[in-house]
Amino acid sequence: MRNDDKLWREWEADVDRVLRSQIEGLYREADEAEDTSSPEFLERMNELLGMEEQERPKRTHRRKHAKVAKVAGVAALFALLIGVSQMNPNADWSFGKLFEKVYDEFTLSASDETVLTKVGPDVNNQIAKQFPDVYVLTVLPEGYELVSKEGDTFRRILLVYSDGDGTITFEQRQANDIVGQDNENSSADTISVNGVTYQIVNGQDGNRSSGLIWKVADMEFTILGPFAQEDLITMAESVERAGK
Amino acid sequence: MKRLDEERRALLAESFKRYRAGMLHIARKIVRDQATAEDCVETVFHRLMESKKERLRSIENMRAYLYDAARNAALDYVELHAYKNWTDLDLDLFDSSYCDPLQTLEQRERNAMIVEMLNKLKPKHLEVLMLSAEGKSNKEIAAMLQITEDNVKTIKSRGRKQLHDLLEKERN
Repeated sequence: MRNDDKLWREWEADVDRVLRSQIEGLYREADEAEDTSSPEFLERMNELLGMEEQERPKRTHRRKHAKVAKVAGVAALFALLIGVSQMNPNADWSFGKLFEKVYDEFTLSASDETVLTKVGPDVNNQIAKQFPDVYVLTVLPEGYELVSKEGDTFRRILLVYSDGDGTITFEQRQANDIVGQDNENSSADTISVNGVTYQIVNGQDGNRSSGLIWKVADMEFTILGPFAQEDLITMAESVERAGK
Repeated sequence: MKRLDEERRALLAESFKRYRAGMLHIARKIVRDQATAEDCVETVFHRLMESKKERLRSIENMRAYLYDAARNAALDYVELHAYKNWTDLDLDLFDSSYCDPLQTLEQRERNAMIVEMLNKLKPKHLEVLMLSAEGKSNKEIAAMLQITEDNVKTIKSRGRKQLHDLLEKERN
């Protein structure tokens, strides 16, 4: 009976933890969700809230679409050049050189270069008011601002930043609350920069990574966002205790 | 009074613009229907328009509040209107992929079992257990769901019992 009680208490703690992670997962997914509001719904809400005309939602895949358009444009240009070079094989220009030039242009224009900026002290002081001793990001991509700050008694704090299009979530928690962090079977890749080892989670798109997990002393940090790995590392390296 | 209403409308209009996509996503995952999800979101804003000014001012984190409220409104809808024979219908709200990717295989299996059990909980039980897991007190849950604290305690204990029974069933 006593064993059963112990087992049940463990299960209850697990259930709470799973519920929290489920809620966080669902809400992160919600942050990235596309707006599916019907015109009738918007009309009703306009009436209720006395709003001016609702702007159509921003699409989270806007950047992806822009890239597809660029790829299509470059492909069309190549097709045209191949056609022209076949029509006039004695032309005194090199298709290879042209290819190189156009490719360079394309790769330069297609890279969404992220501009990182310092976070104003007001924002971090505001976070510290609610969570004393909190760790904060002091560098963020341009246009990003704090949209949510949440914490619980387990000393787990989640800060969410957004530019109205993409979202960055920055989570911090005490490392001894974390279960399974040293799992040797984990398939996550790691990278070491300036003596800190980062675990890369959900890596995709070659040089792009959607998340990093790292530990400093007894704290574990997670940053998630649609940015290149080096940008995420720059943000990770900017973490400081608020009010320091 | 008129100015207060204007302030309230402006705040809620801004919040609606910002969070409606997320709220609809959450509600739709629960009720599985776009029109009903829109009704749930509308209900949330109706309630906020009618709420006392102190209540609106006490909201520290609008995103979390609105997401929670959309989730509760959708669970309320399911509880009240949609499904009578609930135990035969999995909620399918939870997903093992939300769990920490760095856990051991054993923990992942355990979490998957918990996720499966959570999907079988009655909506009202789930509503209260989720708020409780988020660290809210019985008093806060009661205020949010507009029920008494005693009611919160009862629902919480019934929810735990349902989980306990599901676990026992799993073990046998």
